[in-house]
Amino acid sequence: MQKIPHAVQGIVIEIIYALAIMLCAFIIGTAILFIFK
Amino acid sequence: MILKPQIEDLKTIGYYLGKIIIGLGLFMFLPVIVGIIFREINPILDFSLGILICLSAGGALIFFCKTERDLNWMQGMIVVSLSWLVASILGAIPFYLSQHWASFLDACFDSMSGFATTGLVLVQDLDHLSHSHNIWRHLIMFMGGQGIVVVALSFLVKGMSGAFKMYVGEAREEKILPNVISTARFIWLVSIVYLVLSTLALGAVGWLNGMRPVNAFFHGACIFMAAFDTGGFTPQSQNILYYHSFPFEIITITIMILGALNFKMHYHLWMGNRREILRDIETITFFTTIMITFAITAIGLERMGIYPAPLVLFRKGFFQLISAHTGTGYATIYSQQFINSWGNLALVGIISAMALGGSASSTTGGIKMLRIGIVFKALREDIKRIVLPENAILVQKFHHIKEIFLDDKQVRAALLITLSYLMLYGIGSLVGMLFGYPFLNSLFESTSAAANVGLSCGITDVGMPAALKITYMIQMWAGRLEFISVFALIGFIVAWVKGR
Amino acid sequence: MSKNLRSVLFLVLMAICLAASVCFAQPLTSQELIERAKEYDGKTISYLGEAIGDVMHRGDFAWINVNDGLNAIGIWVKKDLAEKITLTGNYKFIGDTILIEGQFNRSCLEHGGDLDIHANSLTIIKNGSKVEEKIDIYKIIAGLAFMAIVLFLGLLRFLRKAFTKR
Repeated sequence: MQKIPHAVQGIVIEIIYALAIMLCAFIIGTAILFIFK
Repeated sequence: MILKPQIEDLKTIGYYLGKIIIGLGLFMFLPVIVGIIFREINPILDFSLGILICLSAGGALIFFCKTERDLNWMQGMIVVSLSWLVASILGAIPFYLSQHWASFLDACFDSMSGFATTGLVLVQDLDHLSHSHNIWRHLIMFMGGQGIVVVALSFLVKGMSGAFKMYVGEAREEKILPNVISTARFIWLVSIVYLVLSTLALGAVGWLNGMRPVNAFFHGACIFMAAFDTGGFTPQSQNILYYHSFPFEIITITIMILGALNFKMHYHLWMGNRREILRDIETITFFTTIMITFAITAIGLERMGIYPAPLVLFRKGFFQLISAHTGTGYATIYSQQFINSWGNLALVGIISAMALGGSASSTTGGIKMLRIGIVFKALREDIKRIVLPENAILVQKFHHIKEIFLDDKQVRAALLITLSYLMLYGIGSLVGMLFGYPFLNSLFESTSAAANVGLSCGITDVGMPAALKITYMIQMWAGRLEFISVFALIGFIVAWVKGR
Repeated sequence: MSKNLRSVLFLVLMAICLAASVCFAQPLTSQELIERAKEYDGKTISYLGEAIGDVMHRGDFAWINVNDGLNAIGIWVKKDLAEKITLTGNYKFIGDTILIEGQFNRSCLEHGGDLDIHANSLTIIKNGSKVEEKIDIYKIIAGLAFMAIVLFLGLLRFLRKAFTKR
């Protein structure tokens, strides 16, 4: 039962990793559109 | 002197193969249940027949090949490679009976595509396919992503060491928990937890987006299975474009990335070891290669002027890129658009992403991040060696859950498999070109098949030459198993023919 | 009006009608639209196909995915037009066949770059219908045959166990 909070934490960290990738990519994409215009 | 395989070898292989076939048959009960729920009579018959054929074949093998022996390495590898071939053929039977596939070969193609979590399709009239058949399409991706053998190990196999040999043969070198059976069960646990969370999330979004609730949650479960197992099937012909929904795409991207993580990483994060995700060579390499390949793709797209707004570039450019890199193969554009609208530079970005793949011991295909990371570290070490004074002692380490010393054996193994993948991509492209397809198109499709991605630029089509269909099937099979068990099978056959 | 003038007027009228029908009534296939997307981008076109899946209402508008046998394309329509559709296609039903006229977008900026059609008009050409399932007797015969094999194998296993116990 102690394991459940750890597992939830793990899930949250993984989702944050995914969101971080998306955010970074969005920034790169936006930058490219402006730089290369 | 090559030793000729003995009857005993065949018996042992046959016995375990039989068990796996029976396991496959048991899984077909799920589509039957779905058929009953949705009152789809023909599909119920199709899958019932499928179950009976599996039970007959598996039962016959178990009876006639009964043995108490455990598997050795060679036998374990061969059980794995044969299981995949046999599962593709048996799994295709219900497909063929539905009459949604133009030939039995096409049905086998989609079956192999499912188990190998590739996602290339030859199905006809997908928008009128039954729920039963659709759930089977997605279920085989779920099973294939976990590993057919892992599935069997969880339920049917009692012995330990033979189990490990099959586990390794299925491209899962890393033991997560002390014994393989627990490892297999942990993999199931992660998958089921995310299945529940994702089905609820996708179902809710689908419902809010205007789908009927039953459809929203049915699609949610299907999309999860194909996204987490980085497969790429969807219940409709337009793939993810069907949903016309930004929130749906965001959730799908999240699931794809989760599926691309090493199960070992899931284990350590879920056990409370939070920092792992920031230090591990794979998560760092993955982040880096995604950004680099996306930058290439984005510049290419900008040159073509097709997605001039940031959000549009993200929704189309990044979605396809992350789908390629995680080896999923989901698309929100039509396959012809890759060739007509994307331009060569963007395609090079996509092909590179497909070729690289996700983490080792994940559901993805491709060369994989651990090997890319190791190769780059080795390259750095060699450059350092040239630059530093001759008598300096250089020790290179990398962090993969724990600190590991980079030694020649690891680098050699990483390079050999990397080379094998590159050769496979190349051979498939050659075959495509032999049939008259242009170079970049052939390279795209070949890489997609061999890295088990599933994005298509239009070559995969019912009218494709049969030899090319078979080529892609072999690529999907070899790519998914990371070559070793396929080589073992070839070696076995050679030994039989030539040995004494 | 003289006979000659009437004939000429009639011919001119026919010519105009023909030109009009050529301009508007000929629906394009999804394959043509996708392959020659650049050419048709932003133009008003006609598209004919079966409504499949769900009509997805989003406020005052709705998405309908329409399949013409080759591909399915997303159509963005006003709510009142969408409400004309009564049946959509899936395993059990053939959906309404609809004719759309509207603006084709290769990469619609309003919809995240989707290839879509913004419909001005929607006409039901043919109503959808239920698909009757035909039971294939050969499947049942084959099923019984394999059932017999499975039972036979079960019997063999039972006998073997019984004999080895002795």
